[in-house]
Amino acid sequence: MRYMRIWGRLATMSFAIQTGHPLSSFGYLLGKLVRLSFFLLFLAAIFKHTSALAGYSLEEAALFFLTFNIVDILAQLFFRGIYGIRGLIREGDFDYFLIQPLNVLYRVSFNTVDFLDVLTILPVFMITFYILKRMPGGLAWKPLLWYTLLMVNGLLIAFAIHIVVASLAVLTQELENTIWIYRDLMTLGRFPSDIYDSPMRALLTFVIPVAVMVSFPAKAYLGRLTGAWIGQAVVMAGVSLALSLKFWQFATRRYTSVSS
Amino acid sequence: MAARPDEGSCYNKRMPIIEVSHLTKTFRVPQKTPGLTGALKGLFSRHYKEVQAVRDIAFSIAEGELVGFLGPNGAGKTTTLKMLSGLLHPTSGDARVLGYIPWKRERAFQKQFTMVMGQRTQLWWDLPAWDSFLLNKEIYEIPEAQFQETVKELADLLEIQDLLEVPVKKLSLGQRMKAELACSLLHRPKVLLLDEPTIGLDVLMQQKVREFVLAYNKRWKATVLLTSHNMDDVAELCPRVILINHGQLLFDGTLDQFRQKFEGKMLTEAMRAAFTATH
Amino acid sequence: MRKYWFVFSIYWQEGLSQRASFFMERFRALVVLVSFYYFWSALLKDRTSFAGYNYSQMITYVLGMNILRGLVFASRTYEIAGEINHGRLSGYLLKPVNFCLYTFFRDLSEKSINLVSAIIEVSGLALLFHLKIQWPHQATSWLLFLLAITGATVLYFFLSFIVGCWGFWTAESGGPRFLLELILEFTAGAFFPLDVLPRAFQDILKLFPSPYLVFFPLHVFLEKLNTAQIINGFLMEGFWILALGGLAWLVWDKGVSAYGAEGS
Repeated sequence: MRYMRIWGRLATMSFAIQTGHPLSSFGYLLGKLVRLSFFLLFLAAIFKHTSALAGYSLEEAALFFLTFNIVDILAQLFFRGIYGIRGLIREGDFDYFLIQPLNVLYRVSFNTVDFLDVLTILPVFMITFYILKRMPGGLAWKPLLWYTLLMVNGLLIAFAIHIVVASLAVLTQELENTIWIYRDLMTLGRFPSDIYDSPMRALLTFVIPVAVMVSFPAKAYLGRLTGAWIGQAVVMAGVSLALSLKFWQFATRRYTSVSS
Repeated sequence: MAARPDEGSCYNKRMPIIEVSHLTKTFRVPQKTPGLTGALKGLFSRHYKEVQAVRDIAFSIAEGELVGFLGPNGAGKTTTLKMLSGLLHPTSGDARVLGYIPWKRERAFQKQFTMVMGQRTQLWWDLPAWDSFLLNKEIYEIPEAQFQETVKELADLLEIQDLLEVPVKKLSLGQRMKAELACSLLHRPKVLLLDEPTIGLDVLMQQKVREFVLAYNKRWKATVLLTSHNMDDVAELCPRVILINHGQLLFDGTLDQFRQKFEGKMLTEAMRAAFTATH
Repeated sequence: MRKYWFVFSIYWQEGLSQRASFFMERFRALVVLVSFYYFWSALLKDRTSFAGYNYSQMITYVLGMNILRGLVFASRTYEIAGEINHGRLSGYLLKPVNFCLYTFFRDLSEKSINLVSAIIEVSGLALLFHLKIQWPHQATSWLLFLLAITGATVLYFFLSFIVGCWGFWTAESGGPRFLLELILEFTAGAFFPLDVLPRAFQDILKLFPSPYLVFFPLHVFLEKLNTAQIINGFLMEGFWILALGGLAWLVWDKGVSAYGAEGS
């Protein structure tokens, strides 16, 4: 399909640029892996002093943390271009996107593909599978299916958030830092959402759905998520995606009416 | 390529390629008062000034024409071009390019025109121009054979065969402009919108760009609308001149007529003369 | 000396005008603070102590962590690499200004803004959640704490200055810098107290400068150290300040001559 080929081209070009800065790329890669390892080390150390965190065992807590990483890295992998949208507008690249026969949102999202994300996600997947195998009952297929489903669901919500941020950038051309608010709030998902008190948990489920994106998949695997919640999560994804796309259309329409 | 009645287009061979009527564009520019009190006030109430960038202009351009859009900075040239490319919605009025309404941004339309903006580039900075060419090949769905043929022709015409594998950031401004032109013409567009293509270039390079545009126009019968505030661009290249200032169309005719009317006058004087003549 | 205080004040103003990125940094710090508050509260819900900390001590550590991150880790030395790579350093070198002092005062303004903000955040959180902070019982502890954090600030400055100087030898110092800062944050105890880690790890870490950035000062504050440990700690801190200060001077010297040779 044409869109796949274009993604391939953009990814190749981004990769070519990254290989032009090997030291920096290596530093970032190592940094991300170090951060991952340190946190896992931290969790392991914590569980030397205790047997449970908010009712979860070490493996279960680790699953939450790893799920957070998977969602976070995959979201970055797919939607990284949006982080640079303000630059694209400022430099005039966005104007070129508007006059080319290609979906503008698609182009903006995939304009940069960070190959390092591919390299970081591989060890995360491996460690996750290892952890799942270590659980009582081992790696079970039905729970894994729910896990994947809710993860994809979470990614759709993440996509919706990115679209909203991109739309804001197009509208105001000032709010470039909004995406970092999202990134920071995501880190609240490093731990199981049960550690938060009710008001906080409500916030993280309904307002900034970090819990839905990150905790739900892990909970579904562990069988701690009811069907009602799953349904709610899916509805959330659908609604947020639809609304965000409408917002994007509004923003581009406004951009083409207002900018000089 | 024969014209086909595509869904969004009502184009047939007898119509002008570009048709503009009553085109108007007004901007609301927020006014910012300097100083701290101004900034605080600005949080609560915003004052806007209305700027009429383009006022009720009309013209039509036939296939294969080479038209120069002349005017000083801020005259409305770029705004007009942006509307013709679909980048801007007009406040009122109508425009058709190849039978399409540009700001609907239909894919079929976008594949048939190109816009080159001087001092900006769609080429990727760190990579050779060739990579950006390949990207456009995918975006514009250019068949392989046609792509190779077009690249060869353009590279020969522009004399950039050896530069395509060099990272764009290592090219000089003139070389970059040539590569930019090649990149924007890969899909053999029928309409070329060139916004200040020679700006910042040295005299020799300006000449080369003009020669290329002329050659392209002859070779592929492409319609070219070129803006500039440099009189030489227009004088050397465009048999037809449209003069615009303060958003208003002041003159639309042949180069000879333009010379006759404004014989010996400098461009700015010509502007003033044209302005007073219409009022 | 006055000119450096002037540097301090203009960067203070600039910092305030760069509202957006400032608030982003503080927001990030706040999110870390909130997530760890809940984390430790959940852990200590059913027990009286964890790894030698009671609830009050742990909360004090977490809050203190936030303040010290604002004071010690806030820095603009990353700009140094950019100044070197883009040739802006020449401007500084030509003026009668000691670049190291200049950057230190620039950093101080950054740190003080962050410190003030961190104190506000921490106070706000403490009031909101009715948190009991464990304050030092003795006046000497306060003095020692202030001494420790002064040392920590200088120590981190030297470290980050050296990293900034990497710009003399490569245009790609961004990645390595990211890596180093991450390692420093973890090993400084800026995410969690180092005593949750196994004994062996702790002993190795204590040989490096990083624990003296956050962990050691907070332990002084919490009065968890006996006299011998305090003296030992300060000796190590002092040693590292001298060592890194010397290294910074060396790196700077070599770097400037390399810079001049290139004639950017």
